[in-house]
Amino acid sequence: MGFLNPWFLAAGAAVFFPLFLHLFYRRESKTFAFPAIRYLLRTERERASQIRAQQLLLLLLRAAIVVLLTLAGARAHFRGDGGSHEPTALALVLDNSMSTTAVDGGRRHLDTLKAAARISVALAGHDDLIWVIGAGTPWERAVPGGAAQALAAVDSVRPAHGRAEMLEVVARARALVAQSGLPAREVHVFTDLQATAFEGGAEDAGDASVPVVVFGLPGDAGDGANRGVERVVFGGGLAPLAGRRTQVSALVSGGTPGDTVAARLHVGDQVRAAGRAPVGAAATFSAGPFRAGRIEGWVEIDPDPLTADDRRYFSFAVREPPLAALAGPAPFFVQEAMAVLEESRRASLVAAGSAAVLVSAGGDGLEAVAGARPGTAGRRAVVFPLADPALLPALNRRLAEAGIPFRYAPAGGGSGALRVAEHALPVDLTGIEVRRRFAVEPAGADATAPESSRVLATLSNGEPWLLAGAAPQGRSYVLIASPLDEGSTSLPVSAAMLPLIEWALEQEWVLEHGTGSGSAEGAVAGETFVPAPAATRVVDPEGARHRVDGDQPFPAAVAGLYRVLAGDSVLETIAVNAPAAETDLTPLSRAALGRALPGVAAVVDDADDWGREVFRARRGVEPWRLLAVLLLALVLVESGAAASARILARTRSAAGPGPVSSGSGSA
Amino acid sequence: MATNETVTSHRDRRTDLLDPATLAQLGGIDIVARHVVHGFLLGLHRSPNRGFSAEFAELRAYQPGDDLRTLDWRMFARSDRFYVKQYEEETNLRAHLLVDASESMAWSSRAGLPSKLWYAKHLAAALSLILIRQGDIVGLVAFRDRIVRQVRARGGKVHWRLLLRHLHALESGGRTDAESALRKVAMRLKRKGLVVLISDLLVEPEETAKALKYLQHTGHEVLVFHLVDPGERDLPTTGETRFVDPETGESLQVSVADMRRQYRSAVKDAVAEWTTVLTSRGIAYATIGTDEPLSRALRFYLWKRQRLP
Repeated sequence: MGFLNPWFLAAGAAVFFPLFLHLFYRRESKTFAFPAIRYLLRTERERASQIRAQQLLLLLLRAAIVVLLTLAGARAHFRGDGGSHEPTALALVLDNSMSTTAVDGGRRHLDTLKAAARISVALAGHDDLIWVIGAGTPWERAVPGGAAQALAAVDSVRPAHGRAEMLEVVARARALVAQSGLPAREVHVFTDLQATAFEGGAEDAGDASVPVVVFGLPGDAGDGANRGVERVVFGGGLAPLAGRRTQVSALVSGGTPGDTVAARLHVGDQVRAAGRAPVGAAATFSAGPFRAGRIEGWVEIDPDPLTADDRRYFSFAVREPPLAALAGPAPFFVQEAMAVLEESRRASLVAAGSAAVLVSAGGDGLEAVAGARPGTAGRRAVVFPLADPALLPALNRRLAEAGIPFRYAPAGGGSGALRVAEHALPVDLTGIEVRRRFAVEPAGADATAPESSRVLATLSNGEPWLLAGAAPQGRSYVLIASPLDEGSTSLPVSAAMLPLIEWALEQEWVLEHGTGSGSAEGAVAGETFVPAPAATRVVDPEGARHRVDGDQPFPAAVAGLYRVLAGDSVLETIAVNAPAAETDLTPLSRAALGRALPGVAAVVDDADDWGREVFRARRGVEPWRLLAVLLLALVLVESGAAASARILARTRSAAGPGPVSSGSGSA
Repeated sequence: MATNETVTSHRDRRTDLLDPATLAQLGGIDIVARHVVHGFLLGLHRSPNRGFSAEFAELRAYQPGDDLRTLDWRMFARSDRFYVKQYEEETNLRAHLLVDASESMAWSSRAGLPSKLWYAKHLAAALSLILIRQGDIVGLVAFRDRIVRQVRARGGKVHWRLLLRHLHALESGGRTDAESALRKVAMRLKRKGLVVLISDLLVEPEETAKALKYLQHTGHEVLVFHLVDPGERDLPTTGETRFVDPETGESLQVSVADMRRQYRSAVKDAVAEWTTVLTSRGIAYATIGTDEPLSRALRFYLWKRQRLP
C-alpha cells in the first residue's frame, strides 16, 4: 500500500483523540441528589457489561472512522497491475550492446528488450520523467522527456557494435534520476545479462538506494553456441612484403569444443582464401602476393545466432623489402641473419649511406643516420652494444650525435643470468637467457624516458632489455641491452633470432600501423581512435564523412574500416572490430547479479510479469470508493449505536419531566 | 398561608381531588387534612356505596349490659320501651400509622411538587381523621433507622390534634431501616389492628418484606402505601449526571441517555416485585405518586377497610 499524500498520515494521530476521551475524559457532570439511586445501581449492574461493550464498540467505530478518513486523505492506494503511481523519475537502460543482436527464436534479443521497455513507457504517467539510455558504447546523451519522447527514443535505439559496461551505465542512470527532484525514482534495466557486461565492483553501480528492476533474458538465451573471430594476424605479426605470399591466421573463439568452423578471407571485395578450423584454434590461410601499399578486408566465419562477431576487419601495409646495412663488428649470428634475410629477399643489404635501416654494432655507422635528412631513407637504426664495456663511451657519444636520447651504462644488480620475462613483440622472446647486459638509461639531464619511447621487452629483474622510440628529428630506433653474441644471450642460437632481426628492420611499420593490424590491440567498436595528425576527415564504414580536427579522438560507433583522409588522400585505414568480450554470451546468474548490482528490486525474464514489478511506488487502484462506502457505513453504525438510546431518551425527556434543579427538594 | 376565602371555597369542592401541589397552598396540615377528608366524605355520600362505619342501621330491644349511651331516648318517649341504636358497623379499630421519616422522604424531583414526607404526613393526618371520625383509635410511629416518634393509639379530636402536632414536628433525616422499625412496632403492639406503612420503600426489599410478613403473621392487617415521586419513575434529568444518594452519600455517574430506558424498567420491576411479594401474603399494597390526589390513597384505604374482618 502506498500513499499519494503521505503527510496526511500525520492526521492519523487523531485516532488517539477518541481513545483519550474514552480513557481519560469524563464529561462535566452535574450532581443530582437522588434517593432512588438503588434502582440506578441495579440497572448499572445489569447493564454495566453491555454499556462497556457499547462504549468499546463506539470507541472502535470512531477510531476506525478516523483511520478511514486518514487513509482517504492520504490517498491510499494498493499495489496492483493498473492505476497510476507517484511521479517517477525513470531511467530506461536498454542494453543494445553487440551481444543483443543475437537472434533467438527468430527474434533479436534487442527487439525483445525493446518490447519490454515499451511496457515501461506504456505504464508511465503524465508526471513521469523518462530517460532512455542505450548501454552499448559509445554512449549518447540521454534527454529526459515524457512517454511519447521515451517511446520514440526506445524505437530509435539501434544495436551498438561495442560492448556495454552495465554497472557504469546503471550508475549514470541512478545519478540522472536522483537529481530529478521527483518523489519516486526507478531504473529499469533491459539486458541479456551477458556476464562480461557486469564486470566490476558493486561500488561502480552508483547509489544503491535507487531501485533497479531488471528485465533479463532467460538464462538459456546465451548458451555456448556463439562463435566469433577473435583475432587476425598477418605474417606472424610482421608486415607482409610486396610480391610475396604471407600467412594469415584467424583465431576463432567460443562455440562448443570439438566444433569446426569454415572461415573465409576477404581482401577487398574478393574471397582470397578459405579453410576450416576448430574453435579455439586459428584458421591459417596462405594469401598473396600483394602489391606494396595497403590491403584491407576481413575474415569471416559461418553465421551463428550472433553474427556481429562473425567478421573481423583488418588493414595491413604491404611494404617493399627494407634497404638495410650492417655496420660495425657485428657478431656472427647477426651477420648470418642479415644474409638469410637478403637471400630470402625479405631485406636488401646496401651500403650504410643508402640504407633505410642501419643495424649498428656498438654504434658504428650511426653518423650516417645522424646525417640523413628527415623524411629520407637511412633514418632508422637498430643498435646493440659490443661485449667490451670499454666501448660504451664511444657508443653513447654516437647515440647522442644521432639524437637518440638513451645511453648505455654498466648494469648493476649482479652478473647472474636473467631471462626475458615480458615482451610486447610479435616474436616470442619468452625464456631467452641473458647472461651479459648493459643498462639502457635515458640520456637527458632529468633522467626520464621520452614519451615517444616504450619498452618492448623486460628482464626478470624488471630492467628494460629492448626498447624502441622516435628521435626528435623523426628518426626511429631500436635499442637492445645485450650484445647479440652467443656468449651474452641465448637469442642468437634460438628460433627467435631471425624473426627478431626482421622485426627490427621493419619496426617503423609495426610502430606506425600496429593498431590497425587486426591484432588484439586493434581499435574496438564503441571506443575511439586517434587519426593521423594531418587528417581532415574520417569516412566511416557506412560511407559517411566526418570532419576531424587534429588529434581529437574519433568515436568508432560501428565495426568496419575507417578511412582517414587528408584532403582527398587516404592517410590510413583503421580496422575497427567488435569487442572480443562480446563473443562470450555466458549469462550472469541471479546471485551474481545481486552481488554485482546492489539495489536490484526484482529480476524478471517474462514480459508478462514485467508490468507487475515496475513502478515500485505504484499506487495501483485507489480504493476511494471502498473507503467511502466503509466510511459511510461506519458513520451510520456509529450514529445508530451512539444515538439509539439518546433518541429514545430525548423522546422521553420531551414528554417526561421538565427541567429539574439539582440537589434535593424539600417539603 | 391560605386565606379564609380560600378555605371556604375549597369546602364546597372536592378538595380531596386537588393535586398535592395545590393542596400545599391551602395551609397547615390540619386544614389540609380536614378539607381532604371533608371532600372525600362528601364524595362518598354522593356515591351509592353507603354503609360507612358509624352509620345508623336499625334499633333493637335493650338487653342488660348494653351501653346506655346507645339508648334511643326518643323511641323510649314514644313507645315507653328501651331500644338501642344498632349501627351498620361497629369496629372500634385500632390503627397504627407508620410514617417513614428518612432523608429520602424529603426529596422532590421538581420545584413546587411536595416531598414524599409532606405527602406522607398529610396522608397520615387525613387517614387518622377518618379513622377517628369513624370511632377508631389511631396511633402514630415515625421511623428512620430507628423509631423517632411514637404516639399511642387513641381516639377523639384531642388525640387527633396531638397526632397533628407530632406530624407537624416530624422532620426527615438519617437512613431508613424499615425492617428494624417494623419489628419493634410488632413487638410493642399487643393488640391486633391495622398497620398502615407510609414509605418510599427505598429499603432492603427482602428484609422489609419479611418484617411486614411478620406483622401480618402476628395478626395485624397491613396496608402499605408506597410513595413514589414522579422523578423516581423516570430519571428527572438529562446528560452526564452524578447521582448522589442523600441518605448514604453513595454516588454513581451515568449518562442518563444510556440509562433512562433501563432505569424505567428497573423501577417497574421493583414495583412488580413489591406487589408480588406483599399481595401474595395478603398485604395490601399501593403505589401512590406524590403528584396524585390524596383521595386515591384514601379510597385505597377505604377499599381495604371494607375487607377487614
